[in-house]
Amino acid sequence: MSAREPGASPFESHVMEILMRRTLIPALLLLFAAPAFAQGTGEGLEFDVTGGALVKFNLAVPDALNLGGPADTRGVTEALSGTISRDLRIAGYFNLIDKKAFLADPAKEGMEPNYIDWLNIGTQGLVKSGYRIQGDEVVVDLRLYSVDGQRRITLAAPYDKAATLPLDAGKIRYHAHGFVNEVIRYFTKSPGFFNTRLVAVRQNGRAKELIMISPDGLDEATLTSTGGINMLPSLGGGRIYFTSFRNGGPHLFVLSGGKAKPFASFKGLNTGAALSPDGRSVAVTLSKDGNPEIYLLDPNSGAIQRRLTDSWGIDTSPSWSPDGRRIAFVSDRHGSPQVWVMNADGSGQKRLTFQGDYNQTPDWSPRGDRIAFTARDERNVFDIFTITLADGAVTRLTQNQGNNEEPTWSPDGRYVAFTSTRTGSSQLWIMTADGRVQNRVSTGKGGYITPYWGR
Amino acid sequence: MFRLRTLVICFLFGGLLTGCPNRPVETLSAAEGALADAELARKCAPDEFAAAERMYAKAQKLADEEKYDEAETAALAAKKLAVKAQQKALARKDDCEAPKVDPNNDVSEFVDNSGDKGLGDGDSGGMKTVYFDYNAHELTEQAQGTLAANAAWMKANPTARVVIEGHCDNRGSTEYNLALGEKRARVVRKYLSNWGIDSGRLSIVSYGEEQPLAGGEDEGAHARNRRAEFRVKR
Repeated sequence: MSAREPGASPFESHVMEILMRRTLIPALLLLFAAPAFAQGTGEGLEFDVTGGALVKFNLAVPDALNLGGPADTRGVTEALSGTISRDLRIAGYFNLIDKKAFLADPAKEGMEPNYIDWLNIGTQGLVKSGYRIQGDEVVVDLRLYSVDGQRRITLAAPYDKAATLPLDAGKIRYHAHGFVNEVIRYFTKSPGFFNTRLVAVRQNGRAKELIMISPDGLDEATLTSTGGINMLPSLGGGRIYFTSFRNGGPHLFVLSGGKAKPFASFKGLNTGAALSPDGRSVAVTLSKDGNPEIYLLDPNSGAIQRRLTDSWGIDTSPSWSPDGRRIAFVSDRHGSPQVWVMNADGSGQKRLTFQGDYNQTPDWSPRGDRIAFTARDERNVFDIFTITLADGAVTRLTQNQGNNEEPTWSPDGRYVAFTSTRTGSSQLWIMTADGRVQNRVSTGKGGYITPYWGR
Repeated sequence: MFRLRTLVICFLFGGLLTGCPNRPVETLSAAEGALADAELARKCAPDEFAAAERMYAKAQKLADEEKYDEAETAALAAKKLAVKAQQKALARKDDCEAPKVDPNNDVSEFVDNSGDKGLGDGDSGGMKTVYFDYNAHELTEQAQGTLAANAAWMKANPTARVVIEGHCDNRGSTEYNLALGEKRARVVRKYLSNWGIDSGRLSIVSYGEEQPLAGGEDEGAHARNRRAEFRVKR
């Protein structure tokens, strides 16, 4: 871990507060603050972003300010500061300071902070948002301040200045997500994942339909409405492959251009579909030769390119390594379902998991080093683990909180989305890759199954 | 808690106290039912729904105060308000429940408009369902006995063609269970053809964990769901 305490710690701020209270001379403040923000340079703060949320940054996010113009009746405040707060919480790297602890009155303060009021509550960063409604447009000003550094941080365009947007909550939210991505880039050197999309299945009674949803749990769109069973969606290459019973058996379909087209309808099973990173093959499970095996299909025609497995047991659930050279999958050829790995031509098949007798749903990290999977333990509870390719080290990410299943990595490999029943219904959750920060993102009644994070 | 106790007391002393039997239980529960049915209104007609909830709370309070006539009137009003709220919600449904699609990341090209529908129908004829052990596709002795009888029925009904459906309980992954259901259906087909049934009359389909017979998470429900069912086409 190259983690280092960034900038002035809350403790240092507290000491300063005791020393100076609120009567300090600006020069004295500079004297103290300068060495502190020399560490937290403008390029962001150095710390390990692979392991998740070891260091948490303190951030203050006051409610969005109406900078004049008509009152907000269209949810602008919620779409700005509400979205920003929710995203930052999900991101896991931040402690959001309770608004009740604010010394400054953000409404009176306006867009320029009185730094000392924010230093004294121990925050390192301050996110200000303001808007002015003009007819059917809104001017939105989003700002990140380094409180340690006592300056505004210039983020990449379009977040370097105020932007004019249509007066529409969805569009405002999209802008706010993009801003948060840049805030996360400033603090962790790698941008956030907001404005990506997940696909999943949502159960409603007996019907299972495909949905697309933003990682903050909003902007959910229903993609199919057959009233039947649609399942196992994957999103890549501008299309969604999925499995559906609409023609009788489990067949594969591809959804693009507003229509589901048959993709693979061989005799028996046609399930799952994982597009290779180079987009040249789709790995699927077929049973046309008498047993569930993994095949590669042409991504457009659905024609068989190659059969990869040949065992008496079940072989299913393929997941590509990011370099496209290997495939993880589930096989029960040794008697129980386990995670296996093979080369992309089917050679070198090797069992990867040995703990437990029920390991499923492998998802290869986009960073390449680990595979997340679902394991059932001796209490019949399902939890999410990762296994490192290099040494087979297994790490548990969830524990004692309902059933946790179907992990899917964020495109940057820093987070895992999954389903959890810990609140009583099956909801979408996102956790940091080390499992330290876990947040429910879906709202409402639940029924979410098999999320797949678009890459 | 208080209401429950009142009810119990009423139940025990119902014959003695003339006031108790007049508690408008049916009207109250009708109002409660109407509120439950108006679930959509909670979201799509929130003001109307809140009014119905308030009226229902008032009816309960009056009943607890043993003002039964007033309670009955309030409960009737609550029911009427709930029904009205739901009607309003249904009228607004399209606006209120429309999926909020991100305009900057248009998903419309992913929305399936093909209008395809779901599953086939059919009855099981004289074919009896067989059950499996957890995570297994081997036939138990009991299953073999059932299948022998099923084979006899198929011989007696030589024109019947049968779809064998493999099913699983809901534990384990969606995709693995599709594969497991397929294995179960295959084993059944093999067993029936060993009994002399022409395999041309037998087709298979796996539903994995998608079509449970029994809800719930207990072993009883799981055991009923691990099965091969039969759909007969004549």
